[in-house]
Amino acid sequence: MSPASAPETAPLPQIDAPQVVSVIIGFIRRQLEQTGFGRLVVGVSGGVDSATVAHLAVRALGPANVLAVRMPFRSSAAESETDALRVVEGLGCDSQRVDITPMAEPMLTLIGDGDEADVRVRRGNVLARLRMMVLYDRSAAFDALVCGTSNKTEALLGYGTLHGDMAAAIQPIGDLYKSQLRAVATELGVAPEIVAKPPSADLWPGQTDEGELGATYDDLDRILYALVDRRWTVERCVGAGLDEALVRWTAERVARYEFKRQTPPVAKVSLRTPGIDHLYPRRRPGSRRRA
Amino acid sequence: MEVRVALAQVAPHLGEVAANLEMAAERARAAAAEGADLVVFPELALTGYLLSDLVPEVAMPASDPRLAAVSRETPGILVAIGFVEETAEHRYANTAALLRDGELVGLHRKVYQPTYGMFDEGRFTRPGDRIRTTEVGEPLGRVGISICEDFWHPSLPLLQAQDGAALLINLAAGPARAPGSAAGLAAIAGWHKMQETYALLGTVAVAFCNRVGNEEGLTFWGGSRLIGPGGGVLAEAPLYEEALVVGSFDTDDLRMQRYQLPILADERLELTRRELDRIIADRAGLEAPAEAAAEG
Repeated sequence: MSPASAPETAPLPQIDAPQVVSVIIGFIRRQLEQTGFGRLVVGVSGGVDSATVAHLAVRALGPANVLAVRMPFRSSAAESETDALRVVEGLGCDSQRVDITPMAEPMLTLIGDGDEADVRVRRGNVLARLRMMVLYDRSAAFDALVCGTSNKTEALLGYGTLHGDMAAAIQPIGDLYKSQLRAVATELGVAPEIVAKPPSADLWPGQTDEGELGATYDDLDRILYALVDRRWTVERCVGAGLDEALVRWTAERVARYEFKRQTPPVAKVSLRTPGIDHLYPRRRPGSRRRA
Repeated sequence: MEVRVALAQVAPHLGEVAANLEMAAERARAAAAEGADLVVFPELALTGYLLSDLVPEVAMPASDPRLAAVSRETPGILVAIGFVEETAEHRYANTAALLRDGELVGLHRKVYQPTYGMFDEGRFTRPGDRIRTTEVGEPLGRVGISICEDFWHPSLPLLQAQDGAALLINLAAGPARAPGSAAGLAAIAGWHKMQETYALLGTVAVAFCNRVGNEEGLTFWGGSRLIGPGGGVLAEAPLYEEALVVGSFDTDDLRMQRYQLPILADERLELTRRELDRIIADRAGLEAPAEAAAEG
């Protein structure tokens, strides 16, 4: 680098939204074709991630083949439900509302008191896992696969509940950073208010992702894009103007939550072990549920 | 003489050999109806790409009558198609067959199998160890076949050009990365540069057929192209969609191109070999060959 050149900057990851939409639609169609399913179930919260996935599912399969499930809890923001309903009505797909409060209460009373932050996370996990149970039950009734709504930023940060919101048959937006996802949402025609509102798991009143993570998604995406996609060192990130403490926190978090992104290790004792040396594509001749 | 080349940009079904054989025969007939002299299919068109341990289940010997049958209904037309080959020694290879009139005319086993990043080919199939060309008769004479990653090693296409190929055929299964972004476009631009450069430096035509469709999380980008000797784009298929595009080039143009730009004839192969011998010895930590050492 010549001494006169401008200091390096760490940009947000870019995306060609129309092309990505066509790639993801092809992905959804082919995945369903290969499994022998023709329908998807999507949990719709009113947030941008699930709204985007619902739009993609309807574009890929048509509204008749998508079931959107709204699953409020008693403390859920009223605005979430209004937004979720708006997504569903705009798409014209089938929709169901399942209030998870009566299912959640007995379990939540078991959690009791303790460290406030700890209890919050445990309560949040219960809600996420109950929603998973509802989605999987609805998927059996609707003869469908459960479609995931996790994005790349969340997955890398481990900001999701195992066997909760992370449980799904396919993950159409799992390789899109939050900032890229907003561009894709806009391309798909998701309402601007939904795209712009502060992301929230809505597990307790006033919760926002950015408040809980302690950084904005744009800052996190710049860091993750540099660390993960471009394989920059922490030093190079800092040299490009990224906050050192946040870069170190992010890198540590990506490492700490590796386990959430992988299937559990199997203790190898046999000649041929699934996942180690019994290696197949998920779908192959004979694996389709029906012709 | 005009040579018409059809690029059958298809989306094979993973592991479903019978369905892919049927699809290939149908596409070959469609190419014949368009007056094609040659129809090129993608890498592993008869099996799909992410096979893992399905390899021994979908493999067939090059002599398998099912393979030859792909060209049986299209008399006189050359068909280049990818499949998993099992040799008599039970060695598995990512192979391209060149077929005509129900006969195997030529064969290339992928020499460079990417085993890095999203690729894991070397785990399941063994690399080929021959870089050859095939005589197919007038007007083409010889053609050189390669498979996808082979093209990222310029020694291979340029050896085939030196070996007399008038046409380089590359069968590909290229997965998209960062579709539409600067990085994704750069990957496609890399392929374009290679095709045009080999056409220019080898004074040959280049037929590149890349698959489309989706396997697991991978989406293949298509964009198959026919490049004329000299580097001009003669036909191009769309990105991501199945297509059958037909283009043509004239062997007279190739003849004049080689008169105007006699770089193939001027290539100093003895010099190249001597320097290669020296580099090979050096990389292996061996004494330099006597001749090269003497010349200092």
